[in-house]
Amino acid sequence: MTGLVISNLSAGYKRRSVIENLSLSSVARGSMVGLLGPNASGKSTLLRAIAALGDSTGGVELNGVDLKSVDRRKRVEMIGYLPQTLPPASPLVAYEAVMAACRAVRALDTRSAEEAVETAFADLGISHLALERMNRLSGGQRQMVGLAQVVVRNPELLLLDEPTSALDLKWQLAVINAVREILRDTGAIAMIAIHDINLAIRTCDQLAVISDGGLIAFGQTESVISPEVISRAYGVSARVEYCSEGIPFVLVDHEAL
Amino acid sequence: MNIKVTQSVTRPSQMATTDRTLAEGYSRFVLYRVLILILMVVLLGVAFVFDVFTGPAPLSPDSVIAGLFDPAGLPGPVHYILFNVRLPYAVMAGLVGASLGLAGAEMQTVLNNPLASPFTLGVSAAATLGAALVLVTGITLTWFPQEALLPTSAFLFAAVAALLIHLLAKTQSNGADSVVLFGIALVFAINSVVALLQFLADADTLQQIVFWGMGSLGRSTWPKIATVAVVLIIAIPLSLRNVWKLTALRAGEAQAESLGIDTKRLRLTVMLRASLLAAVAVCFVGTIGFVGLVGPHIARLLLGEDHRFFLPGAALAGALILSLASIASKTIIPGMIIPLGIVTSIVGVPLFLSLLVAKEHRA
Repeated sequence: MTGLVISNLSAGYKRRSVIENLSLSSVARGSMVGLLGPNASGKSTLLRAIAALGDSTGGVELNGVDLKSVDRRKRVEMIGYLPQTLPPASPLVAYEAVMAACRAVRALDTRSAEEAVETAFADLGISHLALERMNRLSGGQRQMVGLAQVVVRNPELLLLDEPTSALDLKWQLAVINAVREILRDTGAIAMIAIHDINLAIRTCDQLAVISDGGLIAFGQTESVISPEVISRAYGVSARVEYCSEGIPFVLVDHEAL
Repeated sequence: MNIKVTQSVTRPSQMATTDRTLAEGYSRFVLYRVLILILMVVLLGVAFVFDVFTGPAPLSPDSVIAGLFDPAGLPGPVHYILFNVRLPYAVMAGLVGASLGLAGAEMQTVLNNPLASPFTLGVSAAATLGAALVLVTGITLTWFPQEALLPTSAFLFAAVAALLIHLLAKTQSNGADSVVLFGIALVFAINSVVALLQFLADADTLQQIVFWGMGSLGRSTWPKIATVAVVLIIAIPLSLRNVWKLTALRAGEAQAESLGIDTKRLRLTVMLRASLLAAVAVCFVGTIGFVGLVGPHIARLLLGEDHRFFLPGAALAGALILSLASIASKTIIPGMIIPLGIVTSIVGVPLFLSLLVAKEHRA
């Protein structure tokens, strides 16, 4: 079947289990799933486990392919994982950083690789940054280059670990919108760990809320967001209000009693 | 429900732009870097020729060129000077410089630390210890050629230091920094032992240890040169095989991992190879610390960090520094050859600083 199915996924570090038996029923192609949860709830571990970085048990199926059964090279082609840390401010030209990502993953001839890199920059609307050195770029711009390193692989699944956390409002929207457009055009799925609940509500199709390595809620954005779920996940008392355009937003009142 | 930001992020690809405009723009960087590499090769060639001509005994260009094509036709003393002194020194300077430059560049990349080099990680210090032990103990082995004993011991100690660093790197899950710290600790420990050996040594041996520690091309012979050359020739293609992975590593370790690059394995294999390359180089010429550290920095300033250009650039920068240092060692005080380890810094620091200042100025 198409889409993403996660079944009984467990993962952790050395002897400490972080994610335990986490399952997500089918995530449709082209959809963006926001991954919410407090610090140390296992968001990054979950994304890394899906990307098969580090040890994990359980099943991950993407568009009918069992990811455990495919080799490393095929897997990194299918899955684009964006780490939480920003790409460093190195003297590399952005074009080189993306070209290196393309060459390290895809066995393309020079011409095809150049076209893939060109397309990645163009799709993200950052062609004007391609010939700049990374140490001349702002954090947001570097994050976009990091995203280009993911996009150049033409992945079927994008796993983005807090791609917006170091960015100002403009760049947060730039990153999210760029991802949305890629999903629309390619039918890829994105799972985005995100701290800003309201940004997640406004931009994601579905939300998965995890706490202590377990899934608290998963489903369509509006059905998931409730004061109970927020209280359970974050330990705060919150209200769900609606703005003049009918878009829900979360207002945090105080620490839950 | 989804919102859309209207500014800045547009999608030029949807505007049917012609392909390869970026590739064409980037080709200017490539052209510039190729020209820089060619310039470095030319400068190295010029430095090499000057190195051959420079020395206490004057050699005319005519006799040198004639001698290269017809060695038998040269007068005895000129033949001796050319083939036993000038050429071996000049070739060794280039090869050792290239080896140290390449080793330093790879170490700096995989350890993500601009202070990493064969010198700062203890490889050179270990070679000095190996040499000092042979000098102090005066050991002779009937079954082993005496002249090869000192470089062999120096190499073995340097290789052990390389293996120690390798083993430590293996136990550290993500500890590139701890590898550098370990290297620095190793340098202090080894220097203490060398100091102890110097304290115990008699005056003649002490002088020999100190002199060895200053680095010199004076021990260059063709078999030694062949050894360094063969190791370098084996190392270069192995290094170049990893250029994209190493470039990806400079774009972020976590990012490289997400590309399926086994960063731990890459670090281990590169560290072992670079350390052994450096060990072979220093075992014949003594401690030459500066080249492996600054050669890569010069290459980085001139060529950036795309390793297709950076690695050859670091090797060429290392070779150029050592060739210039070799010339300087023979000309600073006429009639006297100053140890190379002293001169490398005198030549390299102004070169390095001028590039740094020029870069700041451009910025």
